[in-house]
Amino acid sequence: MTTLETKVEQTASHVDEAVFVARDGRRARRLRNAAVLAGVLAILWIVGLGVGMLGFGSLPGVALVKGARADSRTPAPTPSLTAKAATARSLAAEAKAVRRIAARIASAPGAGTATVRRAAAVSKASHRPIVTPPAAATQTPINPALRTRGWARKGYQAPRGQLRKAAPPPPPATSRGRQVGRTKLRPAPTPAVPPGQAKKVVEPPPPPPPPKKA
Amino acid sequence: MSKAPRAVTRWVVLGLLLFTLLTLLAVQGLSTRTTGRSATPVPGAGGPLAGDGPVLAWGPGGLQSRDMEPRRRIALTFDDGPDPRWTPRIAAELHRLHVPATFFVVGSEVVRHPDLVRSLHRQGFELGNHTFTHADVSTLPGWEQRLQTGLTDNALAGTVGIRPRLFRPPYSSVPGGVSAPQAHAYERLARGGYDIVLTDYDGEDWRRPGVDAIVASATPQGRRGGIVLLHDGGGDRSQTLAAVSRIVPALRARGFRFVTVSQLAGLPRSEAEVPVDRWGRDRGRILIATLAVARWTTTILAWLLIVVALLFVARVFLLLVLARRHAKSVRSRDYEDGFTPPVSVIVPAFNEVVGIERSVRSLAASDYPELEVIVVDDGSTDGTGDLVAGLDLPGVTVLRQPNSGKPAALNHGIAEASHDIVVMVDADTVFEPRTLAHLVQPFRSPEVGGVSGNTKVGNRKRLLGRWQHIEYVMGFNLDRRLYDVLRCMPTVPGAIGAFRREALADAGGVSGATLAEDTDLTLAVGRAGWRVVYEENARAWTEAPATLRGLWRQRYRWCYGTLQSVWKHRAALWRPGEHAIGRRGLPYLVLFQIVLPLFAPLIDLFSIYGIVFLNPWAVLGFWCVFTSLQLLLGWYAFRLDGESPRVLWAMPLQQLVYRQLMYLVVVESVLTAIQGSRLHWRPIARRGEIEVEPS
Repeated sequence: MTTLETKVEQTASHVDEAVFVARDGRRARRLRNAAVLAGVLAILWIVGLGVGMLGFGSLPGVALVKGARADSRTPAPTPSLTAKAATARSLAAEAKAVRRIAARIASAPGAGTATVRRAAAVSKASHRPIVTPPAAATQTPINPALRTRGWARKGYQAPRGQLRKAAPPPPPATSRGRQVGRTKLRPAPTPAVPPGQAKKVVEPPPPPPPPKKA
Repeated sequence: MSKAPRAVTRWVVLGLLLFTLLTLLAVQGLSTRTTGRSATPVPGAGGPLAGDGPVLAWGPGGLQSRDMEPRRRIALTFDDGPDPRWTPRIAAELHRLHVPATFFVVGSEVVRHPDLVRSLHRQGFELGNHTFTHADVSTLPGWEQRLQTGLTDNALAGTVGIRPRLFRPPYSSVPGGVSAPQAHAYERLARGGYDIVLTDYDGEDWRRPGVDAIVASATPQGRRGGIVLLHDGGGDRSQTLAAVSRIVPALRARGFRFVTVSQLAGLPRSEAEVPVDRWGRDRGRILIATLAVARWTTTILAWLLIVVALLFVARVFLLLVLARRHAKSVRSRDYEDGFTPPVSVIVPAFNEVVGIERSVRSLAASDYPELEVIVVDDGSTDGTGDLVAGLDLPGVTVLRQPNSGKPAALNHGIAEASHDIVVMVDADTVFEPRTLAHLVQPFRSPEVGGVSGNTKVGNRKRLLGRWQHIEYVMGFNLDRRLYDVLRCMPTVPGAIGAFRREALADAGGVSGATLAEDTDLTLAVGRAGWRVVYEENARAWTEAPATLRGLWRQRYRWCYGTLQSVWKHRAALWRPGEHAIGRRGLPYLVLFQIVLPLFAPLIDLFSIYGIVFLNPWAVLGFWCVFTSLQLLLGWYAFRLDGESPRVLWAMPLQQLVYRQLMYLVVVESVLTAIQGSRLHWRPIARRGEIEVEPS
């Protein structure tokens, strides 16, 4: 057996340039950019899918009774018991504040006019209907004979100027929580409010629920 | 950025893309899987809603009928659309007859055919919600009910800018046919503000009972009108179309007039189709766009899958046919004894102390008259050269050189070789005594410039070794038979190969331009006009990687090296005289060793997709067909190689780990090639576990 110690000759392997090996980092940068772009597109697609799958929530309710005004601003669902209780508590507090204001106005110098007395009296009467669940308000009965009148459609009991405007219906809601939250009386006015303003506070309560469909 | 974080980033991006692809397929599958045929429930005598009206809504007392008196009014309703074939025809017929109607659309079809929905809306037809995938809401949990209705609402919002209040539950009919679970589901939906629209007169056209039967079912007998249920999607609706043409004039003649469901229920149109704000519309558009991306991607992948499946089947049949032809030609060979030209065997070695002694001893013990063995120690640090020198075997020479790489070592050996036939052997390979005698036989033909031997896996006791053994026999050896018949051999393996010195000179020696120097050299010899053949009786036993890590390294180098070699020799495609390599060898190599493995994961992806969203039995059937084809091929390959086919039991298990590893190798190699980074030889741990089985 022989053992030879030889030097390596300059063979083709030393002069051949390796295939695919880039001289600069341009291709690597392009690949990285492409990967980033693909990644971003993938993330965008996933986010877009998530956004596209977001629901609308509940539809606003429509009165069941045929011929009743379709009130799109009133939500359909009935509030839960907890929500009802919260609403009742809130409205009772509001009524208490109104009574307090009315009494203050009544005891003020120059008070005792018929208007203010009537306001105080109505304020007391507001106890009962105030705790009516807001869902019942969706079934507001309107005299079918007056249904087609313009003022009736706008929520008035009589033509403008003949009677005070009915309590405005709550704004549109998309969920039960919002419905309850928005079914509030206006905030109690300060004592400095002129008597005319106080009238609005003691508006008549919402009417009772409509008769159930036969 | 350092090397490791860059590799991690690469896999993170690939993982993200795979996750997106899976999500995309899942979305596509979910959005199309549950669309089923309609059905009419049997009206029960005492159903919870028997005696109620057909339009139900949420009231103070719960689910209640809307107060409506149909009188002589008919509301035609059409479910399961939009359908690209039948919806436009039915809409055109209704338009011709000046009949309004309400279409309860399936959300997934809305997303697929938004133009049809826009057209219906433009023509004044009313739209209602029929769930997203025609799902039976009574069987769904609350969240899925909300998803089904919400997605359809979003689809309609994005298409026509409305949100329908009218909801027709799939698999519903008259109020008397509503079951308790259905009533519970309807209550929940009505609480969300939907009006549940049932039916007064069910045409039962989904059964396709004939036009007369549909007309009879959908026509009121008395003077009371109501809601009529028909279908514009979900199958052939020619009978429905014909029935509409008859129902409308007949009812008009009896004094009926046609209205929409909302008109019948006393709902203003703006309440039946609630306009959505811009955000709602945009959200709907985003949903439509994302689902369109899912649909297109799935379609493209499905087509690719078909191509891959066809390639796979074509390859199987090509291999079977050409391997058979090769076997016949081998049987007809008549090698006379006595052709034993002098041979120089070159063994390049770098840190091969574990296996080189056995390798060199097997060579020295060859049953061959005139033989020299040249071991080129490529700067080993483990005493490889000293070990071989210490063996003191006759005819064995050790050359030493500073570490310069395998190509340099081979060139060094070739330069020192004394004979015209040069055999190249890896240092972990064991020869049988008659291997050399078989290997040189094809050199009887002066046109033969190179001969590939038959490499066998010597360590096949463990599962990984068995898998590689199957691959060597089924993949590599069958491919070599095919290449031999087609005269376009691309690789003479480094483990055992022989070349004519003249052919090596024509090829310019062994090049270091690629990591697969054996493929590079063979292609160069082929392009130089020499024929390269396969000699199956020249068996050499090699040690396959025993760990997944080692296997990954080896295959990564092979795959990347093959890519490099193909690219380096791409000119063979158009150069005259190099057509055998250029037009047969290279395309086959690219198609079946790069493209097919690159897209083969689609088979796995769609198998999962099919099992989850389609018919799992059909998928299982396809899998069985594919596996049977592979087993047939395997059995034939093992028979040709004289091996026991019993080991093929491990082949189905290959589908679980081995194949996926091979995909990743190809993906990684392609990315490395695009990136242009330099790849180096990485050593694979050897154990010296070769067991030579007698031939």
